[in-house]
Amino acid sequence: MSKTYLALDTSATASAAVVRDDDVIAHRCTSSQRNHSEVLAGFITEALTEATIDPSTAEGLDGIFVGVGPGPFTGLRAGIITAQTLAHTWQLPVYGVLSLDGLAHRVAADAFRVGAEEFVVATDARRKEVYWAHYDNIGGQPQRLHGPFVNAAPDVTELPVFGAGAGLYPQELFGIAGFTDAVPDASDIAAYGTIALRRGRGLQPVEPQYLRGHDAKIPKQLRS
Amino acid sequence: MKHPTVLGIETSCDETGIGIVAGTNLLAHQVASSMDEHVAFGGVIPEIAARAHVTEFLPVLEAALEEANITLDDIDAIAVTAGPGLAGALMVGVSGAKALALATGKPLYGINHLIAHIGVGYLDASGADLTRVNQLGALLVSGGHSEMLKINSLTSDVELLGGTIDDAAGEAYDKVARLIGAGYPGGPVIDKMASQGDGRAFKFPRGLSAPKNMGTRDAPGKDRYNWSFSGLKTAVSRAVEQFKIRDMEIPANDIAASFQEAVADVITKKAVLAATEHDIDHILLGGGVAANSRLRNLLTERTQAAGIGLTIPPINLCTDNGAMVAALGAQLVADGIVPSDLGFSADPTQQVSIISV
Repeated sequence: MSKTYLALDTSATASAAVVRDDDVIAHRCTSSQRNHSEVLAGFITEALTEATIDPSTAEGLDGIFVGVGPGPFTGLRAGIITAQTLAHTWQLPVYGVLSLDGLAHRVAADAFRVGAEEFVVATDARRKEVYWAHYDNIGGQPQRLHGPFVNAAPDVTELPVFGAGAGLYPQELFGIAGFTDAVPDASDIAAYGTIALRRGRGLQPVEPQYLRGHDAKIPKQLRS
Repeated sequence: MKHPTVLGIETSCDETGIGIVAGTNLLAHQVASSMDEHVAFGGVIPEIAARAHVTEFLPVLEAALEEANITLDDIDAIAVTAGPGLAGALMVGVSGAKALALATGKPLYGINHLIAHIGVGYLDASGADLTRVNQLGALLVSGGHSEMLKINSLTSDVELLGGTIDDAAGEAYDKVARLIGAGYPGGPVIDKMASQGDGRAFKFPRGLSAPKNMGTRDAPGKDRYNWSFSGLKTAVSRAVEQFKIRDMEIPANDIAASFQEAVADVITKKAVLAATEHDIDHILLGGGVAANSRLRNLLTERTQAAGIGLTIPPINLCTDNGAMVAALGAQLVADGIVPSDLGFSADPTQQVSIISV
């Protein structure tokens, strides 16, 4: 029985994909990291229309996958609130995928080819830090061992690194050529999500993985 | 469409508000506030507010639909605050509203938060009868805003007569409350303390009231209808210091009363002046500071003396809420205004001239 899903990710850039079984049948993305709440609704409308799904009914859609980060907060929230609201309105299930898991799934086969039995996926966390997680590579399938974390680059486990985090900190991180600007994408989220759904493990609650607190300090006058 | 059913979404600050109206009839008015989480900080922390909106959005939506006893199918349009407000907070509401519009196929209006505070006056529940008003004005005073507006047309032409050049009035309340150790939010606690104090004990400054700021009616100074509360805050801070240096007890109630007197005096004086000089015959008060007893009393007194009508809506419609967004949305639909394209941006500094994007 054929299954069709909508997938979104706004953990770095904004992207939307419609996948049927294991094929991406429509895809939209931007390279900007700062306009998620502007472009996302348009991307979804276009991708669904291209997949001949009417956005106002979503007939033919079986569910939604959304990247839950970690990622810069404002953009991340745009994707998650969008996925939750669509699912609620269409009365479809929505599943969270750790955005780093999505990217790990994309790069695992290449990691296996370069002989990396274990590897790290790292993305930009701003404030001179990276979001990262450490994966075991089982024949080209990623298995997350540790993380997600947010750290300065020197504190990341010393392993081959895939993802834009490596491109930002070439002195500290051992980036793999061809992957030093890679960021999570909706098609990765869908690919990882469909496998996780089949296996019955690996999905996340649909809530933002902030990893950092809100950083507000109690003013001096109010400290007791 | 004369009496459209509109769902309104508000997330510009710390309230997640969703309301539903049918024309001028209020059907649902649901608000979840993250205020308790900001108390320890003595002010709204934007990231805390934004995080709370994500958690509250769907539960508040469900509660509003249930209160109105309708489904999304019954809605004619959706309206959402596009700005002004806190960027991270606005974007949660805007993204959620776009998803809702996309998934239902309903038109979406990205609207101006300040104009929505005026729009609420058009609801039957506001207690205002605006049909006999020739020229409507609005005074908005809250933790984020202090503005005097002239409404030529609610949906197409609103003019900013004056506003604060630094802190909002409510912000000044929060800061002064911190100075005198009163708690948060500053408005209610200072109002309560002021009732036990002497408003004439301290002579605090009325900002931008000097002749050079005011000018004359024919040659108005550029700040004739503007406010400034930073000097007032500094004056309060100095007064507090004087008592601390001498190791004397701070007369907190008198300071609260004198501060409140200064705020209410300068706000109402300039608002009534602006109204008189622009042929405004009715003022609608909006924003959270509308709950302040001294502001209400003094504004009532001074508008009456000037022969100007005044409407103060119920306080839960004055503070931020979704019903006001829906109320403005209904007027936009009724006036045939074109809906927003789904690609619009939240605009943290949206000008009052942009009523819908």
